[in-house]
Amino acid sequence: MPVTAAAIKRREELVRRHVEAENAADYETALATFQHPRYEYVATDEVYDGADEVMAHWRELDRAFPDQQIEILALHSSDEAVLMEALARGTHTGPLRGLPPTGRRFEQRFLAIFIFEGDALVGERVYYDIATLLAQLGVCRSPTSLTGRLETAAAHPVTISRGLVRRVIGR
Amino acid sequence: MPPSAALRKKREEIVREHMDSENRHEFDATLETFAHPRYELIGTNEIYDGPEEVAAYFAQTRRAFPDQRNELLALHHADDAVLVEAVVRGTHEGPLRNLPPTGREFELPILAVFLFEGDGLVCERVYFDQTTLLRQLGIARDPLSLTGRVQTLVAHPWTIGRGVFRQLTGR
Repeated sequence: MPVTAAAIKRREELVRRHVEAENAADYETALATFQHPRYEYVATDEVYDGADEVMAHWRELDRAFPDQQIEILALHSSDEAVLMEALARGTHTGPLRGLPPTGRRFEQRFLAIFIFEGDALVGERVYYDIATLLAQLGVCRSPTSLTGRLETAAAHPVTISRGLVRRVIGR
Repeated sequence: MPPSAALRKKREEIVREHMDSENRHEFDATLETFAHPRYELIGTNEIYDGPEEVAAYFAQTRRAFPDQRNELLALHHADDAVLVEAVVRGTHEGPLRNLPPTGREFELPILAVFLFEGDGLVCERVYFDQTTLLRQLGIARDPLSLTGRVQTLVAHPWTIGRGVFRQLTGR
């Protein structure tokens, strides 16, 4: 069922408040924008469900990238969701899952789907590219660069040499 | 302004024909679904603009993944765009850039923003995770796995060493 213009306006204001609270590291306020707190990361298949898991997830990010800021590039509202194109920036000054702080800055475009039931925010599903992030932290090489190709060949010799054989024999 | 029911219907037909024609490998028909052919791949920071660049991009992906097909999971109508959550599947049977064919299958979730001006499709902007693809082709490791961590350490000793130093000295 199509939503009204007024409902879309309320949802988009909620999304902006959610992002502003995250930028201010005010996670209690960010949490309160959810009726049901939930994050889904498509790239890593990770789900954080409920207040405790979502709060722990934010704390982990805040520790790794204390200055992280999100800039909204576009909001696309549909009947069931607000889809946000955005740019995240930050500096890696704290540990991230065993990766010590590299001190590097990153800048990354991503897309977040804020899922609504009526006026209530019930989940955020995030599409982003891990390789873009890790390359900027200095721990991943572009697979098409010369050094990236050398690393690939050195780290995956069996896969690459099988591929070369397949190419030479035409199968 | 939210699109009228008639405009939604027209846009949805264009998007579905775009994706179906890709599955039928009728890329001339796919090209014709654009009023202006243009791709923006956010993960890899690539832009293909105009019929020649877009046709070359189709030829490149078909050569690498001759059986590539997509499955539409969800479709969101916004004011100026139709946003599609989909899964792309295929087998890596031809060269991809400089990567020889690995023979591996992949399954990749994507989010495609189909941008419209009125009822004319003017751009497809795609969000996806390169790491998800490269891992399934056997040329990248999960950075959180033990082998992934070892590879990161061996391939980026300087970055990791400085990070460990920063963590120990507290700056």
